[in-house]
Amino acid sequence: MSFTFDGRDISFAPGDSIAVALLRAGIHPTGGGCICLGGDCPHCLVRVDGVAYVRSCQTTAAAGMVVESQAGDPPLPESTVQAPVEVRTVFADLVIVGQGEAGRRAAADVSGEVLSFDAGRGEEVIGIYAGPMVIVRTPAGMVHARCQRVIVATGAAEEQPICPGSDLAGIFTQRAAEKLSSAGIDLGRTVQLTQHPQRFVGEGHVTGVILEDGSRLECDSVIVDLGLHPRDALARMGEGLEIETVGEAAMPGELPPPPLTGTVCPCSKVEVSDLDSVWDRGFQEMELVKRATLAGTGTCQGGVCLPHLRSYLAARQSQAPSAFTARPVTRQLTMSEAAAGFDLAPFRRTSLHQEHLRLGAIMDRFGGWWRPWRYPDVDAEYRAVRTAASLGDVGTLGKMLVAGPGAVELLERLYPCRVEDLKPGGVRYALLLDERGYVIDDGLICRLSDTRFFLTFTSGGASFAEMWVRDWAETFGLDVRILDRTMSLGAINVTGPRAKELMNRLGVSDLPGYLAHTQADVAGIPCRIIRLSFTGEVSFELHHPVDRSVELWRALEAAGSDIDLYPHGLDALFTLRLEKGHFIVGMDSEYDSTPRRLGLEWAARLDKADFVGKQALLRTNLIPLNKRLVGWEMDGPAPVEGSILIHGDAPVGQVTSSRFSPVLGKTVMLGWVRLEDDRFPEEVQVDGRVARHAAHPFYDPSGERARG
Amino acid sequence: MLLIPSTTLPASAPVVEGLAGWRVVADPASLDELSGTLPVPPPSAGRGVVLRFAPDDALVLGENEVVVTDPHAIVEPDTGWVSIQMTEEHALDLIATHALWPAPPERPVLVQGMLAGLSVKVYLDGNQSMIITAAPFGLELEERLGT
Amino acid sequence: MNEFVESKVRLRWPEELRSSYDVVIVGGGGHGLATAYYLATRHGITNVAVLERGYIGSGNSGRNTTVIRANYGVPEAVRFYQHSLELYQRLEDETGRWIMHKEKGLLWIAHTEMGLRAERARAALNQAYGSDTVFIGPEEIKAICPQIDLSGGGRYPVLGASYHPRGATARHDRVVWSLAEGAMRGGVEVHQRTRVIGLQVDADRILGVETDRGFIGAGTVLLALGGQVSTIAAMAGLRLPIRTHPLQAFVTNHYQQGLDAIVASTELLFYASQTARGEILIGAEIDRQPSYSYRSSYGFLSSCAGRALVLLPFLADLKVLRQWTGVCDMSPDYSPVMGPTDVQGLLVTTGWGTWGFKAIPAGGEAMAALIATGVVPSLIAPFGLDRFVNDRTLSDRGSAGTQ
Repeated sequence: MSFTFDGRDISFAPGDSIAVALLRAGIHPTGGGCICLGGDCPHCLVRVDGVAYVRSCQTTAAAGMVVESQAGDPPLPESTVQAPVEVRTVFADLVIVGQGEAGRRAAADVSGEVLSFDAGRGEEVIGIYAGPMVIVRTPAGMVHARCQRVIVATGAAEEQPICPGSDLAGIFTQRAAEKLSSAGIDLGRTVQLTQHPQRFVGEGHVTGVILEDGSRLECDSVIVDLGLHPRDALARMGEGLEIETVGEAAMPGELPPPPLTGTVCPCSKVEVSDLDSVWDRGFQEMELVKRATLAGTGTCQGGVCLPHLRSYLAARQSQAPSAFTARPVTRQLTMSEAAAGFDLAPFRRTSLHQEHLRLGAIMDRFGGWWRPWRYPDVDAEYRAVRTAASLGDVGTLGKMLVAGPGAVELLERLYPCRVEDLKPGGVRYALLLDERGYVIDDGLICRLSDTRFFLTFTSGGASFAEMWVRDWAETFGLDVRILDRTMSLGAINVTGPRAKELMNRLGVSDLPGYLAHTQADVAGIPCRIIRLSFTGEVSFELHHPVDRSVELWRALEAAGSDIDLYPHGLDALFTLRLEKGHFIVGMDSEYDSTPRRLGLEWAARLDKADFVGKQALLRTNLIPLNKRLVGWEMDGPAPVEGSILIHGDAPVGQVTSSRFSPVLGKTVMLGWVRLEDDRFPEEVQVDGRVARHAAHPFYDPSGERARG
Repeated sequence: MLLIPSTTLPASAPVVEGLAGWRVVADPASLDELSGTLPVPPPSAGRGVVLRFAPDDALVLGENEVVVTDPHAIVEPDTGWVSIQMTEEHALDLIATHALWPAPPERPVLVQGMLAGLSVKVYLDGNQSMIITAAPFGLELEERLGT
Repeated sequence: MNEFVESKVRLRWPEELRSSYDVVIVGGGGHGLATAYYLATRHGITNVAVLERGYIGSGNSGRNTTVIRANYGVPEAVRFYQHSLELYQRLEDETGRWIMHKEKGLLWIAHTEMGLRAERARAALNQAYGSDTVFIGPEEIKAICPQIDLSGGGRYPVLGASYHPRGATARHDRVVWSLAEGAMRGGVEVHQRTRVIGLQVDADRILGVETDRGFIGAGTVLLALGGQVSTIAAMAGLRLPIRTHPLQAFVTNHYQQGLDAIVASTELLFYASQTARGEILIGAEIDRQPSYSYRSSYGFLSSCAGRALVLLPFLADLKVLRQWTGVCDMSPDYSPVMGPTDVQGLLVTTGWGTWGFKAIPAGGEAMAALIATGVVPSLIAPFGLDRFVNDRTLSDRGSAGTQ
């Protein structure tokens, strides 16, 4: 069995780590540096199958692996095929990290459901998070272990030598040497050190050691046994959580002698002289020293250098500084391993999604839904609405039933318009304000009976609206029942001068009048028919059970096949509604849009009893208006939405919506303009052309067509 | 212990099916009463089942008519849900690989939470199970729980 | 030695805390130190103490994702951040210190028609108010950042972007140290490990600050701290419209340079850049739940990595090195709050949310001018606390890089 290392075949024994196999072949994985085989140092990092920063001592060798040395920073991959990573969430009373002696003893002592993980089995714990939740990288994938309590028994790391020559090959910690010896690897003539030497000697590979007293020992390998330091990063990371640290990981750990010369942090290549340099210039806190030199910020995250840094500072201060904050992750994982188990936000599809695809629509996402943006014949979309009949999928609208003795009071207090005087069968357009008097949504109030209402909200605002209505009902303590119907009801807008005819053909003779609604079967499908208009033409919104949407859509299509019926998507709808001057919440309105700023003062009845936002409106209405959303028109094609309104040389506002209106033969726009002394310029430049303020609706200002 | 996450799902890809039932929003006492009259055998047995979404909110499956004592109750036909039916073993495996919560031990039980990033309700009766989500998420549910 | 060891800055720490100063600045982060720096260098005001409860830059100044940009969505903000961006461009020359300032260009990517509309509007507004932002299409995006998957994993197609060529990064710590050194050189005292435990106010006038090392009198007190600003302001009876949310980020291990631009997605809500040291640095939106906790969450790491991989799949095999958390002071309109308060002599610079780092020079310069002259500079006049009373909020949620 073999893998390749920099193109060379390396054979290995079953169970060998990559590092052990390389050492067996006489190769130091990184060319030099004291080998620990404990996953604590950066001296065995290699690239395995394209993945850099793999600790070869923690990775079991496998046949066919492509291992490469990693000298310096590896290049960024150009592209990567993401292999799926398995992930599993498991639950236990107790998780024990580390199955050395202390960990095994802890496991024997407890009852309940216990999970244990051990790096020796290839289970690398990368962090302990609130919960507690222990994240583990295992050969079989990621494991997210949620538990009541964690015992950290991660043992201790061996101290690394700090002196010139510490980057030579042939230096091993005591435990590493034991592992190599039991793997049958001969280290040749060895010198055993229990104190930091003056220096290691050799070229590439160690050939000797000069001890503190100046004496020189010749050797093939050096074994250092300098002391142990608690491997406590997980314990520190978990501070404040239900965590207990046992065994060597919990021992206080003696500080090594202050480092005098040599590399302190092999990951970031920080020398003792660098520490001196920043210390002398006032960087005299652990964190400042770390940040000024980058010591401890490399791959091993202080695994090697932290004891030495602490010792360095302790020698210069009255007391030893505590270790720097332990941040996840302690053992590294790839980004795709981190992403395992994460799911992207879902998009919703309406009950007519397949119909739109069948009709060749370009779909776009809007307010969390997939919606038809355009159908293949863009001109026909508009033309059908203005001259014949058209269908629009408005199933995404927020829809809600509110019932109960408190329903009228709830809506009176929630909406800025009157509700009580609305008759059953009546429909009213309403704004929704927050406590600051800012418009957060709009929609319809349909009264079904004395105590029952059907409400609609914008597509994007529906889920917020549900929360909003429920919260206020509870705040007011009113006796109501609330049911969100957004995802249970589909809705098709039948619109155009021949919409009535189309409805008649489908068996509805008793159509509701303008701003009225009724319940009736359309093509045999139960519908709440709401009569209003967003497009400016006669319109019927048919709200129906979602499982019947396709049937209803097709019946409407069939009924209109001889009158140039064609569906319209969002793009056309935006033109149609702009001709009517209807604003869209979030597109034309801003965060601080009061009814006054939108030119919709009529929609907030300040003469009625309190409603959400009323107090704010009473107050802010006294402040001079600084900006307003107003209508503009200009000749020629529509400028980009977002274009700047220029007056003189100065920007005075910004276009929110702009479309060329085929029926009017000019461009119509909505745009915010700054007011001075309650006035704004009647004429501005947009896109280098003149635009004039114009009252909206631009199209059919009297509304005759919509009332039809 | 060595954990071996499941790497294979049953060969049959899950398929969502529409659910038709009654949605009832009513005072909790009247829903308690309704649950009392309709015990909870599996819906496949052809009898009713009350899936209690909240103290004042339930979806009733398998009944032609629902009557509650609350005079202000909202009782509406509801076809806005879809479900994937599967063995309980399969459902439990999906929960272990796609959810951040453990399946509760009680049966029958309705659990509600996120599964594969979707808001779902899982009904477990000890034998068969159903994963339910709102209809607009149906295709995403199918895609995310598929192999 | 690595090339990133700070080799020039010299910090001088005072031993004793005096009983009073003309100006006390609470918070030894970027904004507090920049204010001190400009007080000393532009106004000759040096009887100043900066009080820092930890070490300088230990708060958000040392935890942010180091992006400098001016592609904001309201005119007042575009002007302010553009000025800050220009001050940053000159900061190395001015201080003689290397802050690793590097222009990289910033891509704000849109994935829907509505997203395109927003980025076109951003470009138009930026240009009108003096900041260089242009709208570009997928091919240009690909030329700027070849690693981007234009299909967005088939789910988030890249349709266009606003591109902000002057977008830059700088090393956050070095900005802090350079300003600290400049302030110290001018005579300002910076006291680390000095915690403010009270504000003394008499008849609506600030008298000084109570610290764990004793009382310090001051004619002017500037609250320039992050995270706990509402609790400190409350000590003077002030209620600030600030809510504090954690903001997390992570870096990968070190790789050779290769991700040249700063890449952000307006829908996936993440941003990625490569540090001078070679780490890929990735951040995302604030945690929804308000909190003062600095504990990082795995949910963040997982979701942020997952979202970044949608657009930048080439990062899949990169090893995550470290994640961390800062706490952000969010104002209701996602714009900062700078200026006087109802307590005479007590000033605030706060509401720095996720956009504080890029504002350090301009914020400090303006607050120093306010302290020195008593007049609110016109550049920051719109950002006063009074805007919440006067219905003049500056909503810029779409520019915050967060939601």
